[in-house]
Amino acid sequence: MKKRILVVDDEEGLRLLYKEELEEAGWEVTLAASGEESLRRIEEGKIDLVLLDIKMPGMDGVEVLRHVKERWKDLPVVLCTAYPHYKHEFGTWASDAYVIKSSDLTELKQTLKDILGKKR
Amino acid sequence: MNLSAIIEELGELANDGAPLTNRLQRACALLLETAPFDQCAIYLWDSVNRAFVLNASVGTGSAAIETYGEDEGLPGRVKASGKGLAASKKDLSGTAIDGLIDAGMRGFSYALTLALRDSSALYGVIYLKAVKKTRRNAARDSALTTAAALIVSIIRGEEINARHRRKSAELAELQARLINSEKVMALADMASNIVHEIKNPLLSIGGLANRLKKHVPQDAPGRLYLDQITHETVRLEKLIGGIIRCLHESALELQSDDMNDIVSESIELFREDAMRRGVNIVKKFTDNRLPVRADREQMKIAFDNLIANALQSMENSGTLTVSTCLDNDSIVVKVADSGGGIDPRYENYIFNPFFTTKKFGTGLGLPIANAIVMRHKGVIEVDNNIGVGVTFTVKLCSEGIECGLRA
Ligand SMILES: Nc1ncnc2c1ncn2[C@@H]1O[C@H](COP(=O)(O)OP(=O)(O)OP(=O)(O)O)[C@@H](O)[C@H]1O
Ligand SMILES: [Mg+2]
Repeated sequence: MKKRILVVDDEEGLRLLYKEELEEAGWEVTLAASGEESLRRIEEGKIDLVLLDIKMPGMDGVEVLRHVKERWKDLPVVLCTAYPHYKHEFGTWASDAYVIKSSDLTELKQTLKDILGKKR
Repeated sequence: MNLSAIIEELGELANDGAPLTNRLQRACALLLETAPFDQCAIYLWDSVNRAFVLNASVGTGSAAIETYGEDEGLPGRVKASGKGLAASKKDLSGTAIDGLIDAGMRGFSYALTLALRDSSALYGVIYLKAVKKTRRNAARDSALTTAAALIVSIIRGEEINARHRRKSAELAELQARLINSEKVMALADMASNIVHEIKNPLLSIGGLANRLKKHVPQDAPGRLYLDQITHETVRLEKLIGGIIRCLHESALELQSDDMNDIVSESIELFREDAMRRGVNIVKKFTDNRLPVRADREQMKIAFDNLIANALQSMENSGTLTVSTCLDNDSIVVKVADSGGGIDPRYENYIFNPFFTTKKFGTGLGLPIANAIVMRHKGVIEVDNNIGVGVTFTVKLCSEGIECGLRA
């Protein structure tokens, strides 16, 4: 069965981009436009990995990460942001991987493949 | 005017707020009233240039000489002799005075010089000249000596004032800088927000344009526009990445490392690029371990930028020489190219953010490299060999040693 990735980003264009690229790469994609929405989607089940933007209005990525790691300990989370300096801050160490946003999604897709390949 | 009145007026000059030259000018005029003298000049000692420089002169006759070297003329003699007051007469021949030639005595036949000094220093010389030969007068001599002391106090007061003014100017500047740094911080904050607001939409523009490319064949109309769009977004992305790196100094993740390894890793990234350019990479590494405390990822970024620049300066063929060595307690890494060097007109600007001579450069490569090396308490030096190439030298302290590259 295809693995399902939850993409959480407040930027509409990026959600569209991720959805198309990741589906093309062979995954199923669910979208969430905010931190709050992302938790509801995870509750609905069937998510294998969360791709999470850090900087969002309302509940930000770090907060979502905390909730996820509390309630769904084994659900992998990949953090995604414009800022390389977040890497060592704000408890982002709890995430499974960290990717700096780029219009070239090669690195991101490789990271996702590595993590999803390892599981199960 | 009698002598005591003159002394009193000189005393008042010490508290006058006028510029020093004006006050010395006035002092000269007062001294001329004492006596048979026709010209008064005051020279100040310039310890940097080691010369007496004319500051004020009043009177008739040929103009006073502008400067006297340390051992020239009567002022020079005052310094050498250490005497307070000295009288000199023209020789019988009428050209030399006391056996030395002083062009300032043309047309005069008698001179009195007074040292302007106190216990700590020589400040200058008062040079009084008379056309007619005159006799010494003890009362006048002692009044002139007092006058000289008063003029010394005028000059010293001025020095203290100048120092005081300098201090207040420094303070004002410091304050301005502080205000400025607050402004800079507010600006950096704003810039960081703007950059974030720009980055996300830019990524979707670039990413979606990339996707569109898959649907638009190479020879389709409009493909050219699409290529241009993706090209420009990549450039903007690079620029924004650089700005983010400049704005956010993430904490250094220092660990013990070997500089040879770090530099090696940087070089490996560029093998392919070098090959494409027909550039030969020469590694001259020391066999010694180069122990350093560094943030490996950041330090690599610094060398990536230096190596990228070196390669970009060599279009087809050339040699990139990267060498490492230990020099006493400092680690020295040199990145040298044979790309012809930096145009001397631009040499002073290459470390300025956004300075670039490249069509697709961001101008942030060197400022970032510099900031990273600086934060590791190291230095970057540039040796620009015009027509040959450039050598960038990075110096860092060995682990655990304060080698004093930076204060
Ligand atoms: N090795 C070199 N040889 C000749 N010129 C150089 C060299 N290194 C730097 N420069 C000059 O210094 C300028 C600034 O360099 P810097 O790395 O800061 O920006 P850039 O290389 O122009 O842009 P980017 O690093 O984003 O590609 C360059 O545009 C170039 O003119
Ligand atoms: Mg550069």
